[in-house]
Formats: sequence, structure tokens, C-alpha cells
Amino acid sequence: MLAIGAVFIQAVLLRHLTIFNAESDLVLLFALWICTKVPKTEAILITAFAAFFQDALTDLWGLNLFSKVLTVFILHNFLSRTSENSFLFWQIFLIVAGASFLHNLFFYIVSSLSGVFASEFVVISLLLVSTLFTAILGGFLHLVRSR
Amino acid sequence: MRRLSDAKDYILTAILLLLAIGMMINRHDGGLQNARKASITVLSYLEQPLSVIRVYRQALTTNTYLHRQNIQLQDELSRLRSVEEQNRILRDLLELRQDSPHPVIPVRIVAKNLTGLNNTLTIDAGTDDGAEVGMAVINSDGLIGQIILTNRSFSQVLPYSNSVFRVSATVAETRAYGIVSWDASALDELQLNHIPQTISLEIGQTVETSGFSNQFPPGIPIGEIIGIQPGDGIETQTIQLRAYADLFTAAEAFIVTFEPDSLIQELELEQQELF
Repeated sequence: MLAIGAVFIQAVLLRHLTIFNAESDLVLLFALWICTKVPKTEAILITAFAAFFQDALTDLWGLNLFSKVLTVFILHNFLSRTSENSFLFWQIFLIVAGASFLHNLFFYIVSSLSGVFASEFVVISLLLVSTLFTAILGGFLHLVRSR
Repeated sequence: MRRLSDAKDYILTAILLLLAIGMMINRHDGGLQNARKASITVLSYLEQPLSVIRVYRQALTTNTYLHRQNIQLQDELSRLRSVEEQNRILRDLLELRQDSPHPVIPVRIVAKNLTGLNNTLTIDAGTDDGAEVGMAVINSDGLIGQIILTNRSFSQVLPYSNSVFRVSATVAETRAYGIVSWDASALDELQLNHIPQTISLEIGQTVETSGFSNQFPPGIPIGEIIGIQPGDGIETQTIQLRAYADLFTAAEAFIVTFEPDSLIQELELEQQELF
């Protein structure tokens, strides 16, 4: 349910809140959060489920599924290991920024290889602005949750 | 056990990645058309409530844009009105210049002193331009005044609303002659004197220069009659005029290069010597 909620919020609301054509990715934040809560297999399945719906609602069939699943697959061990610690804002910011950059890099590569999307048009906004935007949103949600 | 779990994750991830690649390829080849239609339908239903917010935001943006446009258009309209008025004045002056029997010099009024005590105007034409003392200054509405001082580039004009201004005038409809002067009652009101009471005059009749003074050419409109009063104890009537030319709004004018007839001037001098 949380996955569907995150996808809906992303598709309906956050998709329109853009800065320099870049949007934050709540579904990615959800995927990172789920990595700290459940085992790897479940995390991959839940992320795949959420990413599939995100792709369906944003007409990006396969892009989010590929990049998010690969990101969760790579980062799950690290995230689950460090989830026992309590983090400050800037630490969360850096972790989310790194994860978001990795995700957006996969996203960019796979969209470039597919040749369907004008990825070169959004390279800066995707790799830089969107990464920072998502990291800020992640840090903000961390602050809200911790209080 | 752990290896088995890792292998499961690898396989699962590989399957999902292959699925994603398959979706990308199928989308490109048009294999997901029905799914795309369904997703668009769902998304449309989801976004419908938010469209009101978007419309409101768009309306705010449009409102700001239109407000800015409105200010710019008002400014442009104001400038166009000013240009239109100036255009009308210049057209009138051009027609006057073409119709005038005497050569005229176009001038611009560069200074005004219309405080009432000693009203004067300054124009941007002097002796270098052909202006001479005594010449009449007019605009398309009528008589403005007479040049009383000149230098090389500028001239000072005695307007009709000066207490020392005098001009020989005639009522166009009756050919009755008199002297027009300023009685200092209002800046645009003049007085026509020395017309006998036996001559019937009416409100609205036109008064123009007569040409008898040998200073102004005949036929320059001065004003229209707005009041007629019989003179007390005298046989003439006092006639109130409203000047046609508005000194406050006048910005351009013409000098009428009318030169008094020298024979008449010599005759007047001889007459003064006799008496």
C-alpha cells in the first residue's frame, strides 16, 4: 500500500513540482527506505512492483524498473547494514544523494541505450538537479520522521 | 544457505532487468499499446482533481501577464493620443500654411509667461529666420499676438492677453470696425470697443483683423462674440469676445511675414507732422 501511495504521489503531485525540468523521486526514497526494513529479495520485489507502476503512470516503460531494481540490488547490503545507526540530516542527505546519483546514472544510461528518449536533453537536470532535489526531499522526510 | 539466497537475488534481479529491457523494446515497437492506453486513462482520472489547481495557477500567471500588458497598452494608448493630438495640430497648421495669402514662418513656442501680470510668449525664430518686430503670430485657430522683440534666434511675442495689446478688428458678418483689447477679466476673453450701438450684433459672430491698422493682414480670426453691452453715456457698445486661439495649449505657431505698406506709413507720418 505504501508503495502504491508513493507511486501515486509521485505520478500525480511530485511530477509537476519541477526545478529546471528536474523532479524529485519519492519512489526511489521509498525503495531506499524499504531496503532498511526488509530482506533483499523482498526489497527487490517491492521495488520492482512500485517501479513498474511508476513506469506505467509516467509512460517510461522499463526505465524505472531497470534502474531502481539495479540500485536496490547494489545498495541493499550497505543500507541494511547502516540502518541500525541514527543519522544526522547531512548524512542522510549524502547517502540519498549518492543513491539517487547512482539510480539516475543507470536511468540515463539505459534511456540513452534504448534510443527512445531525449536523454541528452536532460542530462544535467537528471544527474545533478534531480539528484540534489531527491536528496533534499529525503533529508526533509528524515527530519519529519525523526521528530 | 546464504549462497542460495544470494543466487536467488541474482536470478530475480536478472529476470526483472530482462523484463525491464523487454518492456523498453516492446514500448518502442508498439507492443504495449493497450497497457499504455490503460495507464493514461488511470492517470487522467487521478490528475483530474488537480487540474483545478493547475487552472488556478495558470489563471494567476495569466492574470499577472495581462495586468502587465494592460499597463503597457495604457501607456501606449496615452502616447498615441498625445501623438494624435499633435498630428491634428500639425495638419491644421499645414493647411493654414497652404491657405495663407502671406508667407508664414513655422515656429515653436519655447517659453510662456501667462501669469496675468505681463503675459508674454517666446518663439524660436529671430531675425535670422525672417522674424521682425510688428509681425503677427497666429496658429490654426486664430491670432496669438504680435512680435515686440527679436534677436537672431528668438523673438518675444505680445499675446492678445496683454493689457497693452491692441488690434484693429471687424465683425465678419456686419463689417463693423472696432479695436480689440484685453480687459484682464479672463485670459481668453477680449473686448471689442468703438462699434456704434446702431449696428446690430449677435452672439457667436466672428471677429477678425480688419487690416486697417497696417500692422496685421486682414482676415485673421480673433474670436467670437459672447456678450454685448451698451456703453454707459456713450454711443458705442462694449462687446465681449472669446479668443479662438488658446494660449495655454498652443505649442506651435506661425509668423505672418506681413510687412506694412510703406506708402501708407509715409502718409501717416505726413499726417502726424501736419497736426
